[in-house]
Amino acid sequence: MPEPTMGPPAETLAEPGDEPHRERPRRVVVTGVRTGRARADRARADRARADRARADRARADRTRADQARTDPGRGDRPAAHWSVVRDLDEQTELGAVYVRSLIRAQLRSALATCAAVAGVLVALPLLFQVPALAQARLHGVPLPWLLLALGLQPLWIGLAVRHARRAERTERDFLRLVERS
Amino acid sequence: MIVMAVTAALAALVAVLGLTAVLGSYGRRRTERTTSDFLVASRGVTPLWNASAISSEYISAAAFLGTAGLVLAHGADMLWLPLGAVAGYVLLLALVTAPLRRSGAYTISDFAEWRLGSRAVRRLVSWCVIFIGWFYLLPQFQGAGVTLRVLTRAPVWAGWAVVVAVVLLLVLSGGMRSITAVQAVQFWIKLVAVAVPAVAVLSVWQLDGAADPTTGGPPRFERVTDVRVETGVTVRVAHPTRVRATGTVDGAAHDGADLTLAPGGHTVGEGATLTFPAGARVPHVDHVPARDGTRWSMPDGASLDHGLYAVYSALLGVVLGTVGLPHILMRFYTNTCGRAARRTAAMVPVLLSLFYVFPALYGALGRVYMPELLMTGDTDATILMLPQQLLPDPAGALLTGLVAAGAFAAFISTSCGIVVAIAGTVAQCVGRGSVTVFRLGAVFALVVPLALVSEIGTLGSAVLVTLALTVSACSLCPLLVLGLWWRGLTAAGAGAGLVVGGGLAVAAGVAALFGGPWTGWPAALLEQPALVVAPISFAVMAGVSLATRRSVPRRADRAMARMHLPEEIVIR
Repeated sequence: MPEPTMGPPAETLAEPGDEPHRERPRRVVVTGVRTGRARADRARADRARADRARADRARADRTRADQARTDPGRGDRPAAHWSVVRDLDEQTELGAVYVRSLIRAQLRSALATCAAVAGVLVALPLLFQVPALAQARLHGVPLPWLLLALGLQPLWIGLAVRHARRAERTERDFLRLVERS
Repeated sequence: MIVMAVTAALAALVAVLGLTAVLGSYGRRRTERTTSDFLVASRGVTPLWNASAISSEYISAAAFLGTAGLVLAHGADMLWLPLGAVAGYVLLLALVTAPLRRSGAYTISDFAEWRLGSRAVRRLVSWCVIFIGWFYLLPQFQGAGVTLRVLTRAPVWAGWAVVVAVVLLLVLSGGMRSITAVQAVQFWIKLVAVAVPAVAVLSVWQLDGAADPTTGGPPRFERVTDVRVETGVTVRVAHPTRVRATGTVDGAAHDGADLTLAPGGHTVGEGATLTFPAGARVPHVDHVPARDGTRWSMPDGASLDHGLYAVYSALLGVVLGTVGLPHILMRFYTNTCGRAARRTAAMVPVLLSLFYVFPALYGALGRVYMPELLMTGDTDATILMLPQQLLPDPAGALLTGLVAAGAFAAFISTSCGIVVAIAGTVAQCVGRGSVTVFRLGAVFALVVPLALVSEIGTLGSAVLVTLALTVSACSLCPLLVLGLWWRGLTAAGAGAGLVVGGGLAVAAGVAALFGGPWTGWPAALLEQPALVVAPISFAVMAGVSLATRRSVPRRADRAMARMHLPEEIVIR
């Protein structure tokens, strides 16, 4: 995919970190060269965030309640006051840059989750080729049975929950970003 | 004992059917205004409710009966399958649910047409959905037949008839809303049905201090045992074994005469009864290797042809196949938005993990208490037979009834889901959503597997489901993953990938079922083709798309935006 040719949005999606998002507002990472302007943007964003966060959440909740009643996302509700929303709708270059940044962020976290799953599933059968491991016992129960029937499921659950949270956080950040600009 | 168990099983059947009818009629009063209501329940199902329904559709006869049977037959090598199934839902969550829900399409064929703008691709996808459904329905029929035969001595077609009747009744009357309720409740029935008897059986095993299945030599009969062979089998005998035979053995009729089975293969005719002395080694049906406890309890692939390849290939097939299952994907359209779909998918691994703790346990105890199943090949019956084998009558019969209820719930919920998926696809494709075509489609979905089920012999139900999953892994999974994340996918690329990947997988499945018997590499490749075919399918889809990149649909960017933007941002 070609890199954006015109002025990219000063802030793009934060790479979701591992700290719980409620404790402090998301950090906004500035892509590309960190210019003075970008840094200023970030500082301004930091100052504004505290009082915006609450309003955001309230609005998102209202919108979600709206959505739940109607066919989500496909109605003809006016999108008027968000300028970037019009960009997104009309497929301008700027809108495309925004969408692409969202898709990339989501794809990155999806691939990270897939890689974790694949890593475990590729490594385990190889590990159990080692007779010492395949025959190991814990309290008389074969270790492979404990691992395959009980031990790994929490890992999958953890990965799933982590991914769902990450993806939602990425979307929240995107909404905030769209609204700000 | 038999009488009580039969009564309990029939009571269980009636109870499940009654519950199903009540929930179904409740749903019918509330919906069915338009086809959209009929198909996707107006998209108003909560995440936990929907997650229960999804888990229920996924826990088919294969998961309920087949997993325990496979563990009994092949040991720890089969523990990979449930693990892969749960992992598949993590991938489904990461790659598919939210964007697919936001695309707003009803069925996966709708998605393909909307995304790629091609009727031809739509038709191909519909055929993939139909083939996957047929492969998936075969083990449901087979499981139902085995359950009724084992519990009540009814002919196998009785089980098939029950499945056909109930599914038609449900699908034709209620539409999907009632099925959501039926499915969700049935998940919890199945969980209780597998968990409670497991705890009972495990305590009995602990109390009577019987052998540890993971140590010791190959399985032996603990006491004098009559083994009745319901369908003719070829068995392998390791040591000369003296038996008393009634019926046909090696082509000669016997009538209660003693004879010695020499080491090697022997054919035992339908309806024959062999009486083994205590301590005799259990002859194994010819596709199951006889192994000592330690080897049996090691998940190193040694029980399979070309073990490591087979393990990886089965894992890949199950994981990717779960991502592309059309009847599961259809469920996510009943969530209100992409976020709810994602939350639903995140709950499914929890529910499935709860369930999958138990089947392996039955498999292991089956090796101690029911080794004759290794000879008759009815390993799918492990979970049904163990409670009555271990527990004295009132308790044993009650638990058998409970297990039977779970088994019936398993066939009915999965079969309904698949039939709705096939019928919905046919209705959208041929009839533009007409309810009449939907109903005809339901009949069409059931007829073909019903005609084939008598031809497939003693293959375990889990083996059959793996075939369905492999077809899905090699056709719909690549289409979804590339279609959702790569704007460069073209109709030509998708079509080529579906034809090559789906075609190879279906061909391998048909050859494995109806051709053969195969040995060596051909057997490994035909039974578990995913590791070879899935990458080919991805490569063909991507390669042909790149070669035809001028024909990327003009609306690809808009489609990508719609699939990935949160619902709060409204675009056309």
